Amino acid sequence: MKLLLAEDDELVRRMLEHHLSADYELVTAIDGERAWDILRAPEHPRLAVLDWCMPGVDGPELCRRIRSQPETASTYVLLLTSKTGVANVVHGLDAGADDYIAKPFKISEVRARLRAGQRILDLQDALSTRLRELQEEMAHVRLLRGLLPICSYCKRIRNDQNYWEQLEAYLSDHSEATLTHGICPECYEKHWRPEVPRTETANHTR
Amino acid sequence: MDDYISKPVGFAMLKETLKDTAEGTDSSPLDNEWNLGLALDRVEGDEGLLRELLGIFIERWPGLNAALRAAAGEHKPGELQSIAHTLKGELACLAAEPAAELAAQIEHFGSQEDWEQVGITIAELESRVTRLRPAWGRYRRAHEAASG
Repeated sequence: MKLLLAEDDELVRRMLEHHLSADYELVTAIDGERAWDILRAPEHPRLAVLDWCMPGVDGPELCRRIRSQPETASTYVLLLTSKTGVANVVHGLDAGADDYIAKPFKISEVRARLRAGQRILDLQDALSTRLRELQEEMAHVRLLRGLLPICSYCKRIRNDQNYWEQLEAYLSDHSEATLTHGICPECYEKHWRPEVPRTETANHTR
Repeated sequence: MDDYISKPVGFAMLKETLKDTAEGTDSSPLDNEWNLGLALDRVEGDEGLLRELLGIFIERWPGLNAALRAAAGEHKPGELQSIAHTLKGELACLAAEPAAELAAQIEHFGSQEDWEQVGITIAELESRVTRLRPAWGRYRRAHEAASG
């Protein structure tokens, strides 16, 4: 996975490059403007480690820009800084960072937090894929909605052209359902059973 | 013997060793100023990387120090805080905590524009780094020799 490393301090950048290059395809920036250019490019990294204090655009400002654009809004951002205190943590997270790690850091902690970020991105990808599949399925579903005027006697339905249509025809036109004709027990007793002796007689006569 | 160089002798190595020796003859382990165990822990025991990082700091220090003094002399709080912040981060990464704390104090005094304290603390920081540099240089050379 591509990872943007935006850090202007050579020593810290070298430390991170050494330990992260084995697990990630690193793209490096030494200032905020360059980092922003990288994030807006096609095939941009979706995982980013940003230093707070950088020349030009600083980490929190970069976070605000990232969240303001649809193309970059889903980027997972780990903010790196030697600023301490709850107020600074709140500032960084409110600016749009997903996580925050204080310098001096242990590289094992940086790795663990990036793995957590990767899991979040994988989950986002899975949800996006499922949403797309559901939208495609919904496009094939035709639903019957609203009030349907139906005759109380013959059960014909008045369609959109004010024509009283047989129920079977209406359902066939307005849904994916296919009707198969049968006979319910009540109608069997009422309509079919009286005909049964006459039918048997007719068969004997032949 | 205060120090040594392994053969074959490179000019750059000889120059660095002579410079370190001229700046400080104190060869004490500096346990109170530099936590080697913590420094190695931060790089997951990678001595080669630690040597590289120490080398980066040693190379950058003269420029950063000059810029720090210039910002203090010109009473530029923004610049001073930025440089002090950088030094604080680097020294902390290298586990030179007392020196990192001095850089943090410079950053604070800069924000308060207390130029007198800024000057005093810069001098203290320079003194600490002067003691650290030869020790770091010896560590680098010792481990370069050991790694062949």
